[in-house]
Amino acid sequence: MMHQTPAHPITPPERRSPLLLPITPLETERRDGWEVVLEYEGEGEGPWLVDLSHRSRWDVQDRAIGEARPFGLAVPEEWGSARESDGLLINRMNRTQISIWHIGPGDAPRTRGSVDSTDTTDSHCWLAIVGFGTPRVMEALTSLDLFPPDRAGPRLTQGPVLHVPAQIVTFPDECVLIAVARGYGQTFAEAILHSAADLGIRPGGERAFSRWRDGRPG
Amino acid sequence: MTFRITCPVCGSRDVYEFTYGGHERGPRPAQEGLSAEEHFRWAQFRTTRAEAQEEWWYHGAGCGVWFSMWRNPATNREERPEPVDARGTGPTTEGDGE
Amino acid sequence: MNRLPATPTQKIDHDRRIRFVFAGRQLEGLKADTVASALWAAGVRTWSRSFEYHRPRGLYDLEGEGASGLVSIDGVPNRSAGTTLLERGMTIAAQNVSGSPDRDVYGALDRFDRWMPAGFYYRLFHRPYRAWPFFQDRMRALAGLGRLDVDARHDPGVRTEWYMNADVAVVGGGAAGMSAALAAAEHVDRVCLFEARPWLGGHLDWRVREVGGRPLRERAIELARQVAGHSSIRVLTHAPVTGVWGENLVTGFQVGPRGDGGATEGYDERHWECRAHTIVVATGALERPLVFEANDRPGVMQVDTAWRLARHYGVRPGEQIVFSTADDLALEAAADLADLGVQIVAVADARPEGLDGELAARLRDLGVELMPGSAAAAVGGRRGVTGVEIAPLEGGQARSFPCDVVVAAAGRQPEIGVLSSAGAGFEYSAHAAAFVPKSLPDGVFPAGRVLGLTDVEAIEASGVVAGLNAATACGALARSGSGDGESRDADERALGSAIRDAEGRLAGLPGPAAGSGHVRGPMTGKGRKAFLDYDEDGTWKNAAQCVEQGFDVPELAKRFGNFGLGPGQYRVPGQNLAMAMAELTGRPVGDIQCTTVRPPLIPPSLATLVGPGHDVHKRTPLHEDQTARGAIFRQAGAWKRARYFSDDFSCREEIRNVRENVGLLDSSPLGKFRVFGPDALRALQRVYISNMTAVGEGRCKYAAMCNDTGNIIDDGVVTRVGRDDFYFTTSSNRAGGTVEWFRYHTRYDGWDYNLVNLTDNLASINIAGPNARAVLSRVTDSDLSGGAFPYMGYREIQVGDSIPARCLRLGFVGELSYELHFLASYAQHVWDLLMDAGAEFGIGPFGLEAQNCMRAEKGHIIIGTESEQRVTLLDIGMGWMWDRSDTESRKVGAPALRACADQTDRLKLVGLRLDDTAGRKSPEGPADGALVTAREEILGYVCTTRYSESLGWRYALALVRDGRAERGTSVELFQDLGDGPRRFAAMVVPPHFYDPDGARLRG
Repeated sequence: MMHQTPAHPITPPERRSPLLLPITPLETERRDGWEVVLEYEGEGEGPWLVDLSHRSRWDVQDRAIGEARPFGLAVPEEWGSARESDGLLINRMNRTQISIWHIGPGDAPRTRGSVDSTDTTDSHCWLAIVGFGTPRVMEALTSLDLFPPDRAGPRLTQGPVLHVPAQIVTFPDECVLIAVARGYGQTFAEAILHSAADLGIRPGGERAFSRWRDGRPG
Repeated sequence: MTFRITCPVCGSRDVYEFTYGGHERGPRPAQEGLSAEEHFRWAQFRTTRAEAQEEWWYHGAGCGVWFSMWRNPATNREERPEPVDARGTGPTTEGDGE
Repeated sequence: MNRLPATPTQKIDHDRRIRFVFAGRQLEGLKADTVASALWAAGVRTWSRSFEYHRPRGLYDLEGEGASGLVSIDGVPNRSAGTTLLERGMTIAAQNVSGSPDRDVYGALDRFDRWMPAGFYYRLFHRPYRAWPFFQDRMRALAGLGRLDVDARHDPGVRTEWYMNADVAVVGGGAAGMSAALAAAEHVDRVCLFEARPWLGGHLDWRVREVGGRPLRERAIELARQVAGHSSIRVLTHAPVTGVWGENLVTGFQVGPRGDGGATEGYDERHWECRAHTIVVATGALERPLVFEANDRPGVMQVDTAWRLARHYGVRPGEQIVFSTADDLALEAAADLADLGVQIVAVADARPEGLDGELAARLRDLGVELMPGSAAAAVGGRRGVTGVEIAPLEGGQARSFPCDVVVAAAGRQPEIGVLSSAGAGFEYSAHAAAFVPKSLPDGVFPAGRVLGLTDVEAIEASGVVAGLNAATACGALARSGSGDGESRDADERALGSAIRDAEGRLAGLPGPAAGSGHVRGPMTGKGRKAFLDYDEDGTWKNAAQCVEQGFDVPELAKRFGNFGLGPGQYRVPGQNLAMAMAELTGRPVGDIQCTTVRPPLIPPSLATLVGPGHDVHKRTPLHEDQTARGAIFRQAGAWKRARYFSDDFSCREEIRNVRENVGLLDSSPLGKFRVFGPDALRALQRVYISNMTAVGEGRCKYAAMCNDTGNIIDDGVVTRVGRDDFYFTTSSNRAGGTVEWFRYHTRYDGWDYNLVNLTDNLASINIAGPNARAVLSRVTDSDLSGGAFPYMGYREIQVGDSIPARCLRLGFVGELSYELHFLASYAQHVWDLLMDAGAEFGIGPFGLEAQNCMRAEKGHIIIGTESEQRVTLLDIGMGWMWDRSDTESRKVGAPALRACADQTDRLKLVGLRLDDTAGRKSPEGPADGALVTAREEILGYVCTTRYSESLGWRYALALVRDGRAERGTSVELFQDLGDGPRRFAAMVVPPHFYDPDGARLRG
């Protein structure tokens, strides 16, 4: 089957992220062919821009998506809501479509249940902006109202960031996940670093994201 | 000029996120026995009135859904408080419409 | 330096000197000076010359209201001296000057005004027509403002953008604005407050007059402290608003630390946009200029200019000052200046009565002569002021006062720019002698002096009313409280009663003070040098000429006489224009509309509008590799694509290698889609003009899409990968619009199908050439033989050890070729495998231009190049793709094709073979777009033409009128690229030049 991560080849061929950040990595890890940067030199205090493009993502479409159980998980009912479960983030995009993003610490699941899904890991450049000052960084990138005061929990917003159509998941506590078409990856990330340079944003390794993920209350 | 469009999925957004699909003119006519005149009247003719009309909009920079709604082009305001629900629009891609 | 002793109202630091250069002279200012205060303190009086007459101009205002205060700084023209902070080492130059600002070569133009009446260039120089460019060049050389050195490179510094979402946006950080922000913030979460000056406080900021036992400036400090400490209020200072747009979008810019005194951190200037539910407009008031002879002399200035020079910058405005003003604020300024030790000779007030008694008594105590009912008629002096004539407005003897500064104003006018750009309407209040808001757009609430209010307590109270109303209108009632009905009702009652209290308090306070309706002083003569508009040298006499010519309302006089078209926009002449039109036509002002104000209300710099200037585009997963191989990239839609691999743009080597050997093309931008679900086939049948039920197992079907006029809009291949599961490609430029197109044309049908855009998900590499099979077979175990995998076949193969790829055997360039589609993250790995496998054959990359040449000589079209709006599928000879028998699917485009199937005289695609001698070397041939002619009649045009090494002659694909150029006939190609007309002979041939039988791609 296409669009599926190959099942444990002996030496996984090299896979490349759509972007290369202009900073020397301090520590990296080989994961299924991807060279994952865990930490960069001089990361500073945040906010950080973290490349998560190597992490698995799926697109699921079904007329009866509300009743579907992708990976055995329940789909959020309300359009624009997102639910975190077993290290997966399930984002309700519209009446018939969800996206599923692997944010958990373990490996991504390989069996996806009965629904027909498409592996879209290679469709996007997937970035996290994380750390103190994240909402202000987003205000330099988009006019979308990503942090209305009366919203709790992760929320999916679909709209333009730096004029590029994006899926954005906002958490109330200083983390934003952004997926844009893969081809934009390099110039998009460079534009974020440039646009928010006066706000102190710097590239961060995957650990900057895991620290936030694992350090959340509850 | 700028105004807002209420997307049934994403809510109120800047008009620049949408593409206009013309005003509502009914489904594609059956082609058996369709005259050229009838076809072009359906496909090409547009009424442009300064009053509320039902229009099609596509949220290309957002959720990727076609929907129809009522809008008054004289004021750029939506005439109905509740958006007309997406009609016949099935699932779409992930909004990476480029 | 001419500075007053330090006081708490001053912004400057007396101990920190800043050196700068003006007109070649080394001068010194102080930290926190503006360019204007530093120049005036240094004794510089003439800063630039005027737009038309080259009259000396200098300090008039400190707010950036017009052209008089514009200077060139470090080579950047038209910067406002009054609002630009002085920085160390600035080089400041006068504008529109030949020679020195004090001795301008064209100063004599001032005497020729009688040959330059209003609108003179419209009326005089259009005949004869050919003379216009001559006059235009000369006038442009003489008239104008700053000059841009187009060869100079300016470092734009750091320009950023900021997008805010707010419940309430408050424009103006004076007493009214701050009160509004505080009132609103008690009920909503997000309030944004925008102030143009670098500090909050508005006109209270420097006033030491006591109201209620406390100096006004202390009240300003108190409010500013509360605003800054409120967690629901965001404050942006030094952030002028440039306009209000649809549905309460407020835009502006903010001067940052780098642009404000030369810090090295932060930004220079940023563009901001604030989407607000409601807006409070508390923009205050401007001064309405007084018109009298030579009222533009350097030394004639606004009330607040003189006042703020002393109070903010510790600069003595002049040695001997005469006031000719018309409100109590001016009396307060005169008394305050006198208290500071500035000599005020006399104060003329246009109001015959109603002057504030306390201030009048104070002035008399200070020995200042007060002259109610009088105003300035003229000033004396050629480059600066030497004296002023004051006369009673109702007639009487003029008196002369020697002085070096005249503080002049006809009154105050509400600063209506923001309200006007939001769509408000205005009416003239005869009592206040000003245009005040009459009709307001939804969600816009004015407060303070913009309503004509003058009493400081009323100004504050009006802010509270506006703030509460703004909070209510943006849904505070619906939102406040925890949601249960009882507490919500209580909140509703509380807000309602708060509004009633605030309105009651405002009603008990004084309304607008009576204003003076005068525009002019008691001047004699026609007003030849009495300026209504300093920016474009518009005089009272010009205004009268406008009326004589019939341009007798403000919007007409604005265009014909250029009143209010300069950098000051509406501020100068402001409401004086409407009042002057009333006086000149003898109508009541109430019958006249003031001009609509248009954004940008304050001009931002172009660099700020450009912003960070990001080039966000798409790159293929092989971009880096292609760069390392010397690719020259060109933008193609959203993508940057490798067009050439050498500086030989004819791509001879790249083409030769593909034709004779084997080459690799990165075709990743190709549109790639998955469509699946029970109704997927029906959807394909609808949008494709071809018969999609005929997509066979293991086959690629070449298919096209048309629009409702039968134009071909896309072509690509469709494969079937499962029962209700299809995979198809589109041209690169259509990838973005494909989902939209499918959904639009099936929107009434309720079909159950899903579309996934895999364009970026999958890389695509095209391996083409006679050795393509040999190279590919080294990286896959699959059987690639012609029998097992024929032309137009489709297979799923493994590349390398484990990489799954879709392999499509196509032939766009006319050779044996395979297209591999596989996960984008593997792109470099697969590319390297193929390059290694092909090394012994001499494999090499080729770019888009090589592909373009090869596909054209094969006669394969590119949509949009060999097709256009007038051209249908039938016209380009691809009618065979149309499934004519199918009316059931209601195919998009089928009715139109049926309608034009038998039409004649349409544009049709043909091939042309150019005469060998003309086409031998590529630079000698015609360019794409050349006209196809016969007997001086235009028959069509050339879409693509190249010289082909493979063929040995130059070919062209052209669209030509049907029936006018049969095969074998001769035509002529015509072009004129500015180097004279050129003609090339050509012969009409079939549009398949290379390997017409397709033996090579089937091999």
